Amino acid sequence: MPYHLNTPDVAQENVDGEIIIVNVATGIFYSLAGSGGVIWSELLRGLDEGAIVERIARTGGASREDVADAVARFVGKLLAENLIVDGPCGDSIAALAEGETSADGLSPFVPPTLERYSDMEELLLVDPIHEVQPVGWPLKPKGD
Amino acid sequence: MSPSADVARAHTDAHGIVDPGGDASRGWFFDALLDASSRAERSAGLRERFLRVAGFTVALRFRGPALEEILWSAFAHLACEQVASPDLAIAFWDDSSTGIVTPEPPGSPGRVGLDFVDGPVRLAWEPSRRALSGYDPARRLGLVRFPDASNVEAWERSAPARRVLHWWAADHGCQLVHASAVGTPDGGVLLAGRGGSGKSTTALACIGSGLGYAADDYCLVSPGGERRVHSLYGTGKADAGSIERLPGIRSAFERSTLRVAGKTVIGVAQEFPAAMIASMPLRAVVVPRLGASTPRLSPIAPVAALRALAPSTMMQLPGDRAGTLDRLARLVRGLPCFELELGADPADAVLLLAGVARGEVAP
Repeated sequence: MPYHLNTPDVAQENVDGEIIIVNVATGIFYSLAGSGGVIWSELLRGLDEGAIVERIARTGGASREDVADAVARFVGKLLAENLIVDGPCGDSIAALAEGETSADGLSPFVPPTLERYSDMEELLLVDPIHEVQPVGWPLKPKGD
Repeated sequence: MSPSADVARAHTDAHGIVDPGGDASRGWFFDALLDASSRAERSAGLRERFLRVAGFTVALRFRGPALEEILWSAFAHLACEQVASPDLAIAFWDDSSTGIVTPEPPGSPGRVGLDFVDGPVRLAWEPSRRALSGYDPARRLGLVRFPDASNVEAWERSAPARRVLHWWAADHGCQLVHASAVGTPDGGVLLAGRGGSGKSTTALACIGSGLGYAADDYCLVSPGGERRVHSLYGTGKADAGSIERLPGIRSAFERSTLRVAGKTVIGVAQEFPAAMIASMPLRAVVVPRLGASTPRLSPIAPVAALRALAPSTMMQLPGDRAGTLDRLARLVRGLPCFELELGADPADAVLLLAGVARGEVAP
């Protein structure tokens, strides 16, 4: 099953081959290690888990079973953190995957990891920002 | 300037945008605030100041003297001549000194946090402070309103109109960033990190060292083309422990009565005008952290610098957070980035920063 970035709540950037991901709704930042950057970029390009496993397994860095297990667990974490959602991505979303991603972690295969930085989440809990619907605020009195 | 000058300008905008309230469902509250600012102007008069930042001219239109007296000094080092058509005009007023009543959104006084409306116009309402700010890019107008000028917090006085300037800067290819900035006209350094990382103390230690001072907490950056960093606020703040380690400027802190969250605020631009630097090309991002007995500089990946720069910038400033991340990522891509372990004496760290600002330290 293909996935796409959970926009607009989630933003990501490729900085000189390394990925940074932010859930702007929660304030939680993420970085990727091991083969995480490669798998993340392939997900944003619209590849499903099976295609990603095949691609990585062809590099010969690990058995297909080990790669499949690691990719499945990684995708599960991305879904649990609401960074990606089910469904094919459109062209505009796929464009997010542009830019070279570090090939670190492929040969030998290093399982992908998702590192989570939640210190800003605490700040937002203390001093929250409430998004108000952009339909007029406060509601315009009737008759005006 | 005649009464209701901002409204008149909205109808005669050089860009031909003349609809001050065309879609009332989106902009009517902004217009209600604009009307309040005009009433404040009729009541208390207009005091207009101009500043130049990042190549743009901004008009600050204070309704009456009360807010001008406490807010203008943060911008005074950027003062420029009056222009007919500024790139942004920000109206400042308070109800108490002008004797008007500004409409307020619903919200229980004391409720924490910020209500933020994103859309064609942006509005922010802090129920606990009853503070309002707004920005309409079409009319190039910002609004900042307080209930009472005599109760404006010290942090607001040290960095006024942050949200309006953040929204406006993003529309002009710039980014307001939570970072200190020091350097020379030939090259500058951003000091990135959350509060308590030592960036303010390190920046203040540059005063009198030969490195110029642009910011201790917030500045503007231009991520496109030649990356540049621009001073915005000519203020600085330090806690008692830091002041002890800044002997060259300690007396200025001892004279100040402005306090914020355990720190004393000084007008760096007023106390040390020769130290101020308005704009410089960006040479590096440095992430300070408290630690070693002697300062030590280590190269880090640009993405690590982005992790220091982005969280507090994005989370303190509502609106266009994905765009903020994009601009900050463009700023650090390919840029030398370092971690600076701060020693006991900030003056030692300044020597290392001077080398980085001159481009003498390669990652």
